Amino acid sequence: MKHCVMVLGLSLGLCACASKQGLSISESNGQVTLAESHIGEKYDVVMQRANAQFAVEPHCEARKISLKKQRKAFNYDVCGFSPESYEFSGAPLAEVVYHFVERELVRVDVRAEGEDALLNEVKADMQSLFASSSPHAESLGEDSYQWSGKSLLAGVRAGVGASRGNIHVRLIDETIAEDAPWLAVE
Amino acid sequence: MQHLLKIAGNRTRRVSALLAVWFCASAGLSAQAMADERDLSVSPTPEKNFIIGGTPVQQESYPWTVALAHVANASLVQRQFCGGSVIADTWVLTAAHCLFDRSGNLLSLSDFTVATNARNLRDPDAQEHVVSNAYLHPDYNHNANNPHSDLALLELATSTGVTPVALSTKATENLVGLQGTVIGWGAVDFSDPASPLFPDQQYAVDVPVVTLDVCNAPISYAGSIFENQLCAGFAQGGRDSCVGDSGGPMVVTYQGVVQQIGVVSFGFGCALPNYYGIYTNVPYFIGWINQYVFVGEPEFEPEVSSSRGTTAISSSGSSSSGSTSLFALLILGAGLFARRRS
Repeated sequence: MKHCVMVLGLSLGLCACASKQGLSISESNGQVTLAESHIGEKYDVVMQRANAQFAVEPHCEARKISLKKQRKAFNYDVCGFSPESYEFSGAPLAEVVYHFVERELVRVDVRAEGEDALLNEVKADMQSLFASSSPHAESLGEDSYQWSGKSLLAGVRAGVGASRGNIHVRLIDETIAEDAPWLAVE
Repeated sequence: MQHLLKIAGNRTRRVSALLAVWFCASAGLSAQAMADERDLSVSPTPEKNFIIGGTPVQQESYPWTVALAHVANASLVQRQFCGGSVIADTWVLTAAHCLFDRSGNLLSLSDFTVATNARNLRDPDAQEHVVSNAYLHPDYNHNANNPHSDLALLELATSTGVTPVALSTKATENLVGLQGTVIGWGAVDFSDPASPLFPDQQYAVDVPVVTLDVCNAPISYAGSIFENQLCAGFAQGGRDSCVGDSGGPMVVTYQGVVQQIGVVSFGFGCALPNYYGIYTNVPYFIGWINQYVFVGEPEFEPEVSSSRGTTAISSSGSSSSGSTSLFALLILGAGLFARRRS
């Protein structure tokens, strides 16, 4: 009986591990995807997928912003998810944040719990994805790297201060980084 | 809603692929250059960097002002993106750039409405009107870093029932020195470009019209402002139109009559020292406007427009012609632009 309980417990543990779903930065159909989303996707598509995937309430904020010298106002929506049972490149996923301008995805941020090993793994993934346009990562400071190409800016950095022990990964529309530089700044 | 394309004019020419995106990437360099120049400025810093410096509009002060708003399931406060003015019962004057999305594609007429009676955007009495036609000035080039002829006319499907604003027909030199009043729902605090503060209530701000020489100074817009534009504001900054005010009117009171002289077009930042607000010069375009809505004879030789020709967006719910790629309208409009330049 005791053995049965142990086997059952072990099985449940394995099931729990197996149920953790993984996200990564990758390429699909010629487009770089982060957390399964690619820049330019429509709000409804991203949010429908994220809601179904993460099954947690997102924290959303809507406001109006400017682009370039224009005095037209543009809609800006930010939605963050903090799912409990997800991993990013094998590390516990802390948060995924989607940024939309005019209901189009312009930036994705992922925060995962990890340190050097995760940083190096993501760096290797980025290097592979952007090898043709950015043979070498641009160093933005200590443990902070950026790649550009495919009309994107991609970055990874180690968390500092309260965020120590986290790795931050982001993907940004190169155009929006020019039109609204503050959006490309942490 | 389906759309028809109506382009008046005898011929169009192919234009370069410049049309794909908004203003050129050199804007970043220009901005840097401007910032560098600003560092040399001896102008005092304004107390506040914000319609910026204006006051809330009293009910019925400017009944002919309208808000352009996206069609979406959200409040008018969230949906408003530009302003405009009623110049005839079913005609609204606004800025051409308001009709483009961030990628440089023309909006579909079914993407936005025109709201009247909305001094406060939360006012339940605000009325939204469907736009049946939109006409962009043929010389407007959305790609330009400094878009000239930033003007568009919207024809509404329903009567606004609003007494229209008079349009000034004065020559530019007669406008310099006048006190302009700019009205809109734009940001009242732009000190953090990431989080501009937008009011529910309409605001107005008084700004003097200055000469083109002033705003073409090296320390300001460095020769990039033309006679079909107006500059208004203060050297020290502090009062200006801002994000969300685009398309809205600048008016003056001349001989006891309120007359529109400008349409909010653009500006470097908001209310910054030496960076005046740039407005489309309405009297300059009276000739073009008259081709659609007669608003009076200009008191000077206005721009010559060879045809009613324009980039025009038409919408008809009963049309069977299908949805038009409105980006094509931009290309064709720029074709007219190229023809006029040649």
